[in-house]
Amino acid sequence: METYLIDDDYLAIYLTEQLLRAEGFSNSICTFQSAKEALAKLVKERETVVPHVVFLDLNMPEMDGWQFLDALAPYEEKLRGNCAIYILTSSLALADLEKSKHYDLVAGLIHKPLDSEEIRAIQSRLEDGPASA
Amino acid sequence: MGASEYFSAGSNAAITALVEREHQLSVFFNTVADVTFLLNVEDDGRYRFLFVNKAFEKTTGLPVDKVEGNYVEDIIPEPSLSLVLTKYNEAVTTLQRVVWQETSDYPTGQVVGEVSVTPVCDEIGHCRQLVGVVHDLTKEKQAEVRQQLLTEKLIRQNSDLQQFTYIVSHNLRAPLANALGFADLLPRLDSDSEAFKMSLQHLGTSLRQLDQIMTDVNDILSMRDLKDGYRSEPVAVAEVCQQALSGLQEALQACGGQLRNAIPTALRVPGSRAYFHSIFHNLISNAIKYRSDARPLRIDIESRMESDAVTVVVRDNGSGFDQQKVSKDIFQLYQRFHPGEPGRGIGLYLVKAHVEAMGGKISVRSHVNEGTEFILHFKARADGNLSH
Repeated sequence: METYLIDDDYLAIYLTEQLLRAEGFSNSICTFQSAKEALAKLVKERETVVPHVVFLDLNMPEMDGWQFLDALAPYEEKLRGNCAIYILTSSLALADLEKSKHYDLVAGLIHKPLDSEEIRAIQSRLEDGPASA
Repeated sequence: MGASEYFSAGSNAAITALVEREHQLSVFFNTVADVTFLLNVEDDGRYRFLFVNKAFEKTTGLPVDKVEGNYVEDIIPEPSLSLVLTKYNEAVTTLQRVVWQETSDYPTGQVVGEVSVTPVCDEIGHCRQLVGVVHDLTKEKQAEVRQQLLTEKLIRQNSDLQQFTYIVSHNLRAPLANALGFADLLPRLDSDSEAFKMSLQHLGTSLRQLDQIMTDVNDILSMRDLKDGYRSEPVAVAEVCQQALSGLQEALQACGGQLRNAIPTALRVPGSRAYFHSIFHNLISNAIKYRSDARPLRIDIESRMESDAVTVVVRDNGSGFDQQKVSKDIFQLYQRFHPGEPGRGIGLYLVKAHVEAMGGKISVRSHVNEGTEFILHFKARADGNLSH
């Protein structure tokens, strides 16, 4: 399962990657410390390999998680049903949860750290097919 | 007893009574704390002071004998004069009491008062005189302004604190979440594996980051405490700048950078030496950190003296930033704009806090790939830079 991890915090990327590996979540994890780089790769490869899952941090310099989502708007049609974006944030702000509901591509909002239960829930949702993702 | 004697005795008593009455009125008139005056409406329509009380003299600083008998236009200066004449005319024409608020400059200072004039008519209904009363509102107005300033200050501080709490809790959560995650992951890893070793190391790093934030919070809070307590002294800015530079000389040389400190050695700015040191240290180390790879770093530090203000400018030719995007956030705590660069986002927050603690102001101008300029304004007088 093609997976993107986008987070400016190196420790958070390392942790999430290890947690995903421990659960056997994916054999293909791309990590990005900049949302801009992730966006460039996603847009470039959108015709061939679209990531099935994206874990997206919100609070990042230069381009934050919301700006990343806004930048995806032109490709929404293409991505819908093929790409599930999970916001993975350390913030506990309720406003973020409300805001995330306005984005169709966002499949859920998870508070860091990611735990095994959460990972398994995502796995089973994705296996049930993209419609319920 | 003849009729004449009776009358003469009677008129003596009447005169005594009149004098007594006049004395009582005068006591009354002069004891009233409000400014009170009587104006005669002359045949040509001008107004002449007939009586003014002691309160008039006390409030305006104009002696009673210099006012009584004179025309209004010779006593009241513009722009008040035009206003009061309009109001007097209104009272005379409408035969109604007219009330207004007025701010006037007198030898005793600025006076804010509520003025009223009441027309006094003759038997055929013509207004012959005006009775004026000024209730001095200066103290109330001053109290009101003080109250308002205090309220604004409190609102600002409260919103600062709220913002501070929000930012701190937000930034505490990030390393805390990492630490929790590594603690959860570690027992599931093979203790001989590379991942175990790395995760244990990262757990330690996360905890040290948490500790660093607590130290930052402590620094910021202790600075807030000092803000109202520090004593302003004349600071030799050029010398302090040179001292801050000496701590960074190695880093500056390592990147092949140059710094020109053109602040005159004689310049003294009232404030705190430690604050100026922190300001220069943070601005110079920022310039080094965010230099451009395209050209050798050059930092220029200059000052300008104006009549009652000193401007200090710290300019670099570094990578700069998109001012429209980040200008308002640049001094915000834990705001970071350079991905991949080390930095906790506390330096510029402290710079701004230190500048403001000395009563100064800071602004920034920047262009991408050209450089950044920090402009610091200070009052040149000692009392101007006292904390407020």
